[in-house]
Amino acid sequence: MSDVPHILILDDDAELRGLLEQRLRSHQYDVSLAATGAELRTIMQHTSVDVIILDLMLQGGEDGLSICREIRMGSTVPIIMLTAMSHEADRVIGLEMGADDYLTKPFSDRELIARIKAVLRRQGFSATAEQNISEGFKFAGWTLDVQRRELRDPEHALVDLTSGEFDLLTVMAERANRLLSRDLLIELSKGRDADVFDRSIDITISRLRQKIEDDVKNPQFIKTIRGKGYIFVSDPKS
Amino acid sequence: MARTTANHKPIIQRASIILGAVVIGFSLTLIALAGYLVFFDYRADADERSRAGMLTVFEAMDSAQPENREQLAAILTDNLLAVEYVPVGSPVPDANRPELARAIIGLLTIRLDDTTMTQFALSDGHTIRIGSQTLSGGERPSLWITMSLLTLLLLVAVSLWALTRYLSPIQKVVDAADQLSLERELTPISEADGPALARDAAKAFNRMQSRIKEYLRERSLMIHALHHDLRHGMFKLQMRMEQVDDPVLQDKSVRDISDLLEVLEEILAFADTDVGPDQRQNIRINSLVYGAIDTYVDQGRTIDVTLTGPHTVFANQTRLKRVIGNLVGNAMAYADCLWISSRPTDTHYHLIFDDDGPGIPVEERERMLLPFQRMDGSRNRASGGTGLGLAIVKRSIDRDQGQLELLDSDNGGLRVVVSLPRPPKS
Repeated sequence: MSDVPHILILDDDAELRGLLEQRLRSHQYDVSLAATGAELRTIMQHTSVDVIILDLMLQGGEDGLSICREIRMGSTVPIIMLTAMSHEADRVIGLEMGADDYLTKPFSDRELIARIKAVLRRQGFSATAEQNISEGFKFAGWTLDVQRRELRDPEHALVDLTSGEFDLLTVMAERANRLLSRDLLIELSKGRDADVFDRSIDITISRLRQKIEDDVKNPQFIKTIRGKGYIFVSDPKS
Repeated sequence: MARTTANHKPIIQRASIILGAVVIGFSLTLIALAGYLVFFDYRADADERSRAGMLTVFEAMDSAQPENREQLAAILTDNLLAVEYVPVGSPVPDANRPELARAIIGLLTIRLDDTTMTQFALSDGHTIRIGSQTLSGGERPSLWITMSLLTLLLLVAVSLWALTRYLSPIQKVVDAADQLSLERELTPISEADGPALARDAAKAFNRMQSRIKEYLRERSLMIHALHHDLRHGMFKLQMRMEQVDDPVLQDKSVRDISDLLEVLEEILAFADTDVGPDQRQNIRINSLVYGAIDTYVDQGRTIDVTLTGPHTVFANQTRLKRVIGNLVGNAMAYADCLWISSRPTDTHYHLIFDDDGPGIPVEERERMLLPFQRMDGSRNRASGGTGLGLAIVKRSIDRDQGQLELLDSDNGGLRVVVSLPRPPKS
């Protein structure tokens, strides 16, 4: 990765491409634009790309999902999918096709930059912890599916988490049964979601507990170590 | 396409009940008739005929020459009366004897199965014996009843068969109409069953079914296409507004855009309560409740949550999230405080929202569940919301086979009870 990340935008709307380019350039990113899948392939052959921003709905018979899958077959470059859909099902399909993250239109400047930073950071991690990240985690019957960004309890029931909660749980699960300082957690999980910037890690922790602990006052999974931080216990003995 | 659960008994079952009632009624009438024949009419009739016959026999035997009497007795014996001439004893003529005989005959009660012979003295002193025969005719009424009952049974069987044949195609139309949805594959009902009328009904139903499906599919496509294009356009508008230097203009415009997007989302959500994917799964409903209140809690609003597990329900995630979001949003718009509690049972999870707002008058409650309705009856966006909120809630819960109740809260405002099915037992 060079010092200035290179972002490739695939969107069939010329004006939207221009607006996105302007935004990203103002944040000191290097930007290339593609209107079709063919243009995207040409650019990828000639330059190295750090992040691809891909519109899911393209005109003219091309479909963002199959382009996404095609890129994924030859490359691990992070893909952020843009969608105007708000269905969970569409989101999950996009993630399964190999996208790393998604943004629902419309999104703010800040959200876009945060997601780009987050996928870049995760890409950096994956050099060291690649296996863990792609497979997800199991703890005490629970399943944390990193690809689909889903948490399910032992009854296979879906637990609704915000992006911030999901990311925090993921970084904790990656480092299960180890003491994690608040500073480390903030550093690891910030960036993806504006939520984490605004709320302290403690609020996110308490909200996670409400959703996954049987008794919030006596947590089994996320234990507080007073004055030091938290420990995520992956195999609590009750 | 209101998805009210059909609460009628199947047509065939209802028809059978009616037919059963008719059969029972008919049978009772028949038994009464039989009873009348057996115990009253037939017996009285036989009695009367025997008595009259005895009298005739007596008169005939009395006036006949003694040497002809034996032959006459044989002639007079029929299936009703037995006559015997007894030429014994020492005949002493007595003109009063016939009177006595007539009187005795008048007093006789003749029973059907009574074969006792009664002796009478003729006026010349000879004796005859007359008795009622064992009535072979006595079997006739019971035979008749048996025949009638058999006929009746046959009639019932035939009608039941005919009824089933006529009604079962109609039952299929009813079942198919209840199951019609975009989700399922189109399942045409058989157009070859039953009589001509039922076949025509099936054909017409199938045509209607595919037209409705086509219509729903088009509507769904149209709304999703509109939604996509409008979102896309407003996104560009928003990005352009972010470049404007005037912060007040920027603020107002961005707020308008987000209001419009909310309306768009509501319309899409409303359409999806009908034609959206079903995709139900196990969901921890408490995570949705906590997710829905976060923003308001951050703003310092008072929301008290006391949930009792197990928290798993069987529902569609996108729809349920909106249901809970809408109910929390409504309470926050009209009331100061909200209390959320739960009561899980074996089959359902009851989620209860109590607020201290103005509530909804009883007579208004049903109307508020219809789309585009507001409390003040206005269509003015200034009063907040699209008027779709509760309609989305109602339809989504219907679609997930749950129930929605609007009641009075103990806290002075509205109580909303959402009951959702718990996961199916595996």
